[in-house]
Amino acid sequence: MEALLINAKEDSPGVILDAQKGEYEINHRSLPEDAVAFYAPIFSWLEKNKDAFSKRSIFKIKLEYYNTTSAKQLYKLFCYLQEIAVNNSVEIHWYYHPDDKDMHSAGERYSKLIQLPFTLLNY
Amino acid sequence: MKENSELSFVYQLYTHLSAFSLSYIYKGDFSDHLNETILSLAETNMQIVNEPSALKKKVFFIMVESLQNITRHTEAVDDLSNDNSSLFIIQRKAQDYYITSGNLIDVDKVEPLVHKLEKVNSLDPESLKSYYREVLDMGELSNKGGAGLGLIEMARKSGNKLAFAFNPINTKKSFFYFQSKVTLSGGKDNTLDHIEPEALDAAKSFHQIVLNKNLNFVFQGDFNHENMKTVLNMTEGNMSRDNQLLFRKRIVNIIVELIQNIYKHANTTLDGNEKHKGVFMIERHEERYIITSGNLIYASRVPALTEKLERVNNSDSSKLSELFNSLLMAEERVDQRGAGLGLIDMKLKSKHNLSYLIQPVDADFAFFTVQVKIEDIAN
Repeated sequence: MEALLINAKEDSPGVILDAQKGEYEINHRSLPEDAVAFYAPIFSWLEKNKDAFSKRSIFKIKLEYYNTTSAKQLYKLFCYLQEIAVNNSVEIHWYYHPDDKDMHSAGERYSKLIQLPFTLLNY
Repeated sequence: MKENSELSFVYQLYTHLSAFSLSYIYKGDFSDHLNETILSLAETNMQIVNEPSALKKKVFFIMVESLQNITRHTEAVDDLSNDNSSLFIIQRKAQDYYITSGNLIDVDKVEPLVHKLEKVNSLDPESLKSYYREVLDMGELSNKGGAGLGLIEMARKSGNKLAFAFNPINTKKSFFYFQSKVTLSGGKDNTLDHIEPEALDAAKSFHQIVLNKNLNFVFQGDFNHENMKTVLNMTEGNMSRDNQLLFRKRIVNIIVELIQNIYKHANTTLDGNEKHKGVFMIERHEERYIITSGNLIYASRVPALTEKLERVNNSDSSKLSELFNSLLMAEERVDQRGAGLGLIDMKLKSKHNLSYLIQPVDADFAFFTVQVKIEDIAN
């Protein structure tokens, strides 16, 4: 299982999907020119590597901010994970800065829309 | 809430600037960070239109000199009136660039400055060269390190005479406008081109609009992802550390949504190549930002857009939140040009209704202006 690692840029997030280490994370900020194109490799990786989640896994979202087209892709990501979780074990850890009320409520929003263990944490 | 007719100045400005393929104005405090981002915004745009490197170098040189003139020679403002803030303008028309600086100077410096400028303007390229050496040898340094060498070099590099004007402010201060026109072929002929008074007037009236509307930053041209990043970089660098994190983040969010809205949805009347022309502006106060964008859209899209805007403005935050969720969960369609998430997000983050105006242009097009206000308050 090859890891998917994308370095963060000023407008797009860092991505870590590493089954061997059991690390799953999206960080930095997400406002790419084409969010659909940016997130597509993440979805195809998940499609191919569902088995990775047979052991208990935590998917971390540590975003400073994201645009509304990325919001839609994040929802899609959670739907993928929700489907994977039917036969596996996935939890979401949503990180937010203690002063960032918006990021906190965004996490709350997703936690209500998605049937997955969803924890909000400070960073 | 209905349309806001006070926003009609945005289309006026757009029309006023439409002779230029690029117009960029900044008014306020100049710092090294800001100067860097101004330069990189120009660089990004020159790269996109694929300017010859000789022209890029010239434009860059003139910009650096102009920005240095502003930071070096601006006199402190004693009456604290915002109207006397320094300013920087770059405009592109065909393959010519007009670079204008504006700053306050002491009236007793006006005469020596005029003398220098007229001297430079009286010389042909050959005599400029020898005058440059002469000044260099004499070491005629002013107390701030400017020897007039900068002016000579600007005339030589631009290949054009230097345009200037003074606007007396009071008995002690005058506002100094200074403009260079940079042409690709400039400097190769035996004489320097004549000054175009209308180009300096255009810059001055651009400045006047900016003053009347209390704007700090205006960018008009083709919008894309690259220049959005530069605008963000500039705004973030300029924000006061005193402002709360949430306020700063919300401003970034709104800028992203507005500019991405232009480069994804602006329609263009001319030539058919995929350009996304628009105008974007910021009015900045310590604890309040007003961010405005304007662009052409197809007239056929007006009813659907108006409906979206009215739905957003007529919904309270819990209803907006529901609407946001339903759009978030809706199937993605390739032809779905903006679900309206951006509009909802801007109202939720700014805590204000979206001010907007849609003006008919002709049978095919309308002009869409949207304005978002945001305050730094603790919620």
